[in-house]
Amino acid sequence: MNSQLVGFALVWVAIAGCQSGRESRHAPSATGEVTFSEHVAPLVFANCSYCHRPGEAAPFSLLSYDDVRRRARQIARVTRSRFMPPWRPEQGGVELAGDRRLSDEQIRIFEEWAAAGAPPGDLSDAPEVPRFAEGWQLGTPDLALESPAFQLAAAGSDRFRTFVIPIALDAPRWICTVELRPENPRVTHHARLGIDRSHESARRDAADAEPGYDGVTWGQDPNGQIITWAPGMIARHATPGTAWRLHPQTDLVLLAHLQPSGKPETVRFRIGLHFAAEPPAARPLILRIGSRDIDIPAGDANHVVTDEFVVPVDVAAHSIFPHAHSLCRTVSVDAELPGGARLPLLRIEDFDEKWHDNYRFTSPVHLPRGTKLLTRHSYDNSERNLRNRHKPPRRVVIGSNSGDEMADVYLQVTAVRPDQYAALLEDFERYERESKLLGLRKTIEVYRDDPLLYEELAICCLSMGEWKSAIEALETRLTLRAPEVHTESLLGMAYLAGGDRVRAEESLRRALEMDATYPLAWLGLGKTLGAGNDAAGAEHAYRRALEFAPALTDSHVNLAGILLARGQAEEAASLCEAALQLSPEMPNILLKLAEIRTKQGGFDESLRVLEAAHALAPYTHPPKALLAIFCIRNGEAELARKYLLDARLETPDHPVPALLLGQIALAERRVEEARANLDAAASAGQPDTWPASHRRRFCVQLYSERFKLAQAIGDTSLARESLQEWIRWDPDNAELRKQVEQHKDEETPVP
Amino acid sequence: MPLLSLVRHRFFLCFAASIMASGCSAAPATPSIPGVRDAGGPILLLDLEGRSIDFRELSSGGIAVAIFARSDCPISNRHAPDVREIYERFHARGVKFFLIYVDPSENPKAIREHLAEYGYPCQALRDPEHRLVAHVGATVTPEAAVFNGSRRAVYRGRINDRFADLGEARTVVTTHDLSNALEAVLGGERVAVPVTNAVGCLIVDLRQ
Repeated sequence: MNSQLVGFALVWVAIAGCQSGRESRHAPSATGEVTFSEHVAPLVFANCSYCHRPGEAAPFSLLSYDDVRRRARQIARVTRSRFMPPWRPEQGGVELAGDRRLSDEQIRIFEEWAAAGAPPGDLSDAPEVPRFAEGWQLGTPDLALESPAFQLAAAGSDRFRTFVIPIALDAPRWICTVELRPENPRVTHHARLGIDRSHESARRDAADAEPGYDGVTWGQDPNGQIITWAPGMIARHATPGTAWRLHPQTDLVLLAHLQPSGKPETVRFRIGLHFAAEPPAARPLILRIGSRDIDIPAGDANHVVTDEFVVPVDVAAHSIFPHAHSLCRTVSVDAELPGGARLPLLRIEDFDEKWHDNYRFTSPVHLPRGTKLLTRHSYDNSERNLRNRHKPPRRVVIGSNSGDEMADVYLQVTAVRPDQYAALLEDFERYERESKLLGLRKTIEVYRDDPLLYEELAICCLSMGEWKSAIEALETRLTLRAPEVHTESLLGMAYLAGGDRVRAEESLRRALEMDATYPLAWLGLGKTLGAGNDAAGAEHAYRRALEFAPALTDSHVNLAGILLARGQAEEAASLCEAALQLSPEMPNILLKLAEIRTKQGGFDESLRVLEAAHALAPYTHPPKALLAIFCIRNGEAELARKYLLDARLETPDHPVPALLLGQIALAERRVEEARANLDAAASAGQPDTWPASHRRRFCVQLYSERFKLAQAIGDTSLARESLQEWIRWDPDNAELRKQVEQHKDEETPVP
Repeated sequence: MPLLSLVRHRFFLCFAASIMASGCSAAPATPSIPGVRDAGGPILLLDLEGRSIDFRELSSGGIAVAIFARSDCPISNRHAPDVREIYERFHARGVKFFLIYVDPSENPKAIREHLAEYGYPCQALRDPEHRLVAHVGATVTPEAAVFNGSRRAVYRGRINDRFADLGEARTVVTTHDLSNALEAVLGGERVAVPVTNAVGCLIVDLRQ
């Protein structure tokens, strides 16, 4: 009887042994006793010790039998409740790297061990304590930086503090990975690193007596990256081939969310930069998606906020980072593929802002053009929600304070075809601007007296070309508090955008009276004076802007334009060269340099520069077509025609050389040649690298030229057809509409 | 019938114990809180010099608060400012405060450092054998026990409702249980909620 039982047990063990290694390896031994050395240590070392060790974020170590024994029941409880290890995403979506979710079987091992009195087993048999790297986890960085030390009080509410980190960089560098290490991880809720080219952060820091400053940070994420630290995040290298540029004259800014621990704490961060030898192979983009139209009524226990963004080109998604504040309970992100199938990218049923993480997909997720990204955040603004910061609950809207809410998802993507990056970026930026505008208007409904919000609103309006709304916002801002240097600067930019150079100059000069070292005011003044043909004044202004913010490449390029117009081509060229040192990835600098070289007669050199610009921004015209445009500007039509003919031969499918040839022919009254070229431009396909705005500009130009041609040859049907297309691509052209309306009954339309 | 007699018997025992515990004091017979096992003998703890000390004697002649603590318990530490605040408020009104360190492996040097680091103003004692822990039925750190003038435990539980569970901290503390209990005792009233559920690090894990 007994031997039968043993035989059965052996068969059972043998079967169990065939199952997945992870489950069975730590199963209770045949003797039935769960011990530290055999069962518990492997689990703890693999899932807990990375954070539970000296100097890391967890509040105590779990490295030895004694460490673990002293918390045996506690560990059983917190693993059962899945408070630990911290891993919020549900299973069943796209596979995420570094999944720390324990299996039920593994949790049972902790429970059985605690219930048995935490027996050690044969400790000489226990696995070796894992040896983690001390300090830097990703190896010695190429450049190690340090934030200033900040004293955090023992008690009080959370602090949001931005620190400016001086960088001692000899030359511009490509950065492939940044390792952020809080020296005091136990009081750091999270930290995020950005860059600031405007020196605004340094100014705010200087105005605050302690290191850093409170409030909204001025930094921006480096191109396509989110560099962040939160407890429980494992340090890792960035997505390969996605390096970003760091310039010597920029500031690194670190926003830290700090939580008092009960005793006074010194807070300091170390930043390890790893250089890449090569420029990036792919330019990543962070798609921040999620609605900013957040308005949660007091008491609403299940308020849902959704949004969607359609990717205009094929992309590969690499990582996903959900963000919201304390009221948020669930987050889900789905990809609705063009065929209608839904791919769940992330699902969190128990969202907790304390456990922020930037989850990386195990392998890149392909999302074809037309994929709809759907975000859904739900919030509990009832009294029952323990995390509710408002007692009693009150209406909560979008905002960056911890008592406000957010509904963000940051998805890091690369365009599958790198030459479609611009098309992706443009669609996303439009989405983002509209979203921001909606959000700011919502925030202002609640925070009517916050002057800075109106300035943010003005910046947003200006980025959308809505200068009237920007001026309106700034006028409201002026009723709240005496203007500051940034207020006057913005007002100047808004007037300039509206064409009122006199008031623009007045505002900008007032800004400079407040602070003669404010680079953005100098830059604005340069633009204003330049627009008014005061070349000497503009030059002075740009030179001051460069003096106070050498990394603002706009000043270089604009000053180069002024010098070029005055015949100082060589100095203009060297300004562009200097700007390229700072930002080799910016095509507008290369275009300016090519314009200068063309003016100097260096056509081959110009072509070389334009080829570099085209490689960076493949949506631009073929290099020879660009060169032709510069030639036309210089009054060299014949040369332009030659380059355009070359371009048409080299890129027969591209519609731009034909359009430009048609334009030249039409201007010179060679109507047949014009017709042939414009027909060719209309029937050629449009490159799929073009952003939507580029396509629109091309079509407006094409159909307006065809309309002119129709008038020249008296072809009524071509005129009607061209006019229809022209209006279709230029719907906001009120003047055009009016004229068409006036002449609609005539045989030949006249715009 | 035998069942009924058993119930009566138990009732009698409880009644007898409560009379013994209240001793000769003239204070009203406050019912002791559940879980308190009071045999009436000394409760021997250690001070930081290693001397044995009877908590009963130490806490006699006034209202006393014992707060169970552990230097490596983050929840316990997070409450340090709350404890300081409560101390400031009630120490001047004659309440004695004791911080009871329950980890047998914590030595006086580490405890002194911990006191200084967190600015605890109160006297620290060690309870390596969990005598006071057992006496009041404490289960986690931090947990508080309040003794009235007749050395009877009249409150046991959380300091406040900052934590609803591990990792579930309220952003706004809404109930100040320990302060409420002290106000009641000082006012000669019964503690409205004599037992609350404290959240923190399990003391039982420290038993050797």
